[in-house]
Amino acid sequence: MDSYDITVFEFDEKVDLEKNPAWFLDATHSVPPWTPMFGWSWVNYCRHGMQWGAEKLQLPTCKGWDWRLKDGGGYLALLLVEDEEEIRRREEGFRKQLIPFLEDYDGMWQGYVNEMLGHYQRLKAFDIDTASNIDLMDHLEDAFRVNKRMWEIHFYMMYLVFGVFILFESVCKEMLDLDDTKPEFHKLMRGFDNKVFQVDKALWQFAKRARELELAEILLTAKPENYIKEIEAAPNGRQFMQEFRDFLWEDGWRANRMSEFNLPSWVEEPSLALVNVQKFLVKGGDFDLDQERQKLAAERKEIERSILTKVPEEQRDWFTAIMQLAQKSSSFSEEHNHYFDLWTHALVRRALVAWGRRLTATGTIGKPDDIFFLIPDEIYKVGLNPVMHDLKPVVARRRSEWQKYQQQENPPLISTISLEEAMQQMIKSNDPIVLKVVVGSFPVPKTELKADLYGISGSPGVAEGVARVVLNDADLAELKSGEILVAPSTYPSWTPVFPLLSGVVVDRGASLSHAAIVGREYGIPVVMNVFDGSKRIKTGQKIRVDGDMGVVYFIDQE
Amino acid sequence: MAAKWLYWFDELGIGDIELVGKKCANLGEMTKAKVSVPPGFALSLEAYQRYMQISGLTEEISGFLQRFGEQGPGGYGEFLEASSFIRELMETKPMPPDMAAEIRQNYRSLCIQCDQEDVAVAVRSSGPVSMPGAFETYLNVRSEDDVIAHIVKVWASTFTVQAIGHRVNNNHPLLIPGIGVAVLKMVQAKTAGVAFTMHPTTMDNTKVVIEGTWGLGESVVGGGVSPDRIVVDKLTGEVEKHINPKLQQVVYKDKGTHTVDVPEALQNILCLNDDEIRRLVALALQVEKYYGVAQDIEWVFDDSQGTSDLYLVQTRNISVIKSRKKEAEQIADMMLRRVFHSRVG
Repeated sequence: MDSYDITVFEFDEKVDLEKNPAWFLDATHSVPPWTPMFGWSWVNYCRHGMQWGAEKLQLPTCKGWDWRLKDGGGYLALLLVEDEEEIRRREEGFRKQLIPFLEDYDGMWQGYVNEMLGHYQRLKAFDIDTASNIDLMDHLEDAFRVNKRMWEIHFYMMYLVFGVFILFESVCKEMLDLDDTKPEFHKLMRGFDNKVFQVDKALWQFAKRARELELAEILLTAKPENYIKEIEAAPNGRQFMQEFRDFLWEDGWRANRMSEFNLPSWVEEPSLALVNVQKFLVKGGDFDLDQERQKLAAERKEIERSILTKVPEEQRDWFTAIMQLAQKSSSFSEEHNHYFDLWTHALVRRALVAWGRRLTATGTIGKPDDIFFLIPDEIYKVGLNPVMHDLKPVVARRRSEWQKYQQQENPPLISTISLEEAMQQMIKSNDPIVLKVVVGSFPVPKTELKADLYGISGSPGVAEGVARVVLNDADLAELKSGEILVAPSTYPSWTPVFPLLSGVVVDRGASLSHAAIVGREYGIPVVMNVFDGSKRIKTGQKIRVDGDMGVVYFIDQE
Repeated sequence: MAAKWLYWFDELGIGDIELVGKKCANLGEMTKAKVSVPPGFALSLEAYQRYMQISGLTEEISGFLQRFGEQGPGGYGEFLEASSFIRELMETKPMPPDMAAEIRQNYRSLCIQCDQEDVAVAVRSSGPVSMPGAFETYLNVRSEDDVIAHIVKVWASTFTVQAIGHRVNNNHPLLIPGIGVAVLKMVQAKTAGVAFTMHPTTMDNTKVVIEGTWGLGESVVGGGVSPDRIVVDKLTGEVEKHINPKLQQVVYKDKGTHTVDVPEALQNILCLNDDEIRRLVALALQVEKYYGVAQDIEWVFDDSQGTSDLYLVQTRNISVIKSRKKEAEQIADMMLRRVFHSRVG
């Protein structure tokens, strides 16, 4: 068999291509390929949330995306609305949903965050070690329900926030000839705090605390896997770890990969977070962001003032309103990762890990992480009498599929039409998330610059330095202060390395991608959508990143 | 005598939010201001409590909730279970006879006052704090039995999944002091819209600006159509009229609303006649005087009884809502045009 065989949402070339001629790989989330458990969860709940969001909002031209699982990769197709009458009806509904959002974005966002925090509090309070199997089964179901709800809110908000951002770009371009190829545009979007930076700052404070308690030496010399053992053996060490664990119990519900269940969260393995504390110790000095932010905020206000003088007076009210909402989209983009995806996935994982341990003890599976090769239904079926079942053969089969998938590259597009036609379909959807995250802007090569790579500007500024090509988490450990990060894409868990960098180049992305948002706040140049940067640039090569023009020069030729 | 739990709007004012909830208190205040709001009455939070106590529901629900232990329902599944059980329990529990009799009697008074047999009413929830969308509202309810049944439905909607989840997650008790209910005459809108007693964009306070269209006002409030626009100078009485083609209108269906085409003959004529404009301006100025600040008013002309009757359904201070509300509509339009490439709006 050549599939996980876990869901009807596994790709069926004949049936699915007939329904929809173009299926795109979600390279941001499903490379490397997912485990069966995560893939199952994604095609069920992320798909549901997306369609729920589009339907609740009555997005006029798109009903969200459909998803299939193929070789561990997530493939998506757009559900277009083509009937003119239906589009018109949906426009009316969409307007109704839009008004309360525009009137009180902060209230709406805070309300949803509070709702999720309420769910998390409940899940955290559940004792996974002492619970009966019956209760643990309910708990797993509860965790997946929270996962489902998370995706609903996630896309409801994301469609609105990204929609306003696109509107602001369009208005700026037309009224002021200002778009994201110009440094001013990016300067307008930065100088804002958000929860993710606050977590970084807490890690920096722990670096300070480690010095105070004379534990810095351990972090600077020991291997990460020995951090905890050595710290706890030192005087004050237990107190430090207690403080650190308390912090993680509130803010450490994240794994180093956002879209998977098979990696530990910071709560489970505090050493993962201590690595970031160590990076702050190596770097020394103050938490750059606070001073940097004041400077960036002052600069931003100056640009806001000068831009507003170019907007006709009677249009300033709505212009200011759109601008303020668009400015919030960066914070939203970062904070929703923290409050939604990362946190929920870490709590679902917590319930799964508990099941992994129990089913291993009863011999139902071979080892705890076999659990990621099952699906929830299978756990529910064996959960009350696990001794009576042996799931090892099915785990073995799926694990070998998974291992095979890790070695191969999933095609970016499965389609019966050309890439160009498929792209046209995407654009026709007017789907704000597609436009802002999946498609991005296609760089128009400014050949007069005679650059080596042409992309788009993600954050302004120019920097020269040594490239560090990072393909996965493990490569991050090699990174040295002052280097330029080159990667297919960057992830929320990478935020803590940004203070070390002098610049960033990523293969894919748009102005609301992670690298652009964080790069802007740290005031370092970012060039995005260069497509094959991580293949053409080699670690150690000297390059120049021009974030103002959106291009990269090789100083050392290939 | 038993405590009072039913009030006509003219007995209420803005200070009565704790007694009857926000919506009823506002309707009361407008009635006091001699603004013609649709006639009707309110059931107080006390009425909710009486119903819960006398019919034994408080006890039954508390008993039912014990199955979830001390922590109460946890998790969506249990919210759902609690919600469907409690709502069904409430909706099948008859109203205590003395309460039913009093509601019947007052509904009959309303019918007489409106000079209609079985007048259609809206039964609306009126929470003491704003929780938009949390509780239900029912439109086009007719007959004594249906009014009573729908009041109970509104009460039962205090146990929607969303409401239970909200209380659990915020550590609020599951049994609440209650909500108010407004029972008011349905207005059959011939023409509806908004009026500002100050120019909403230039802030010129010598002008009254009226926007209106055929049918229900929601297409004007929501910005769905280009309404007719009438600007009246408060000092000189001079009237400027801007007619816009009105191709569609929103009307009531059995439940809810739908959009239909405007008859061709009406598409390009002003939706208000001179007499209606004069009455609307006079009423708007009276409301502005009563509240002491410029007002944003939602109005309706109802000709279902053969005469053109003017009602106000909402009024708010402009200073508070002006910028955001108007901006939001403008931005919503732009969003449809620029992001979704809409050809209307």
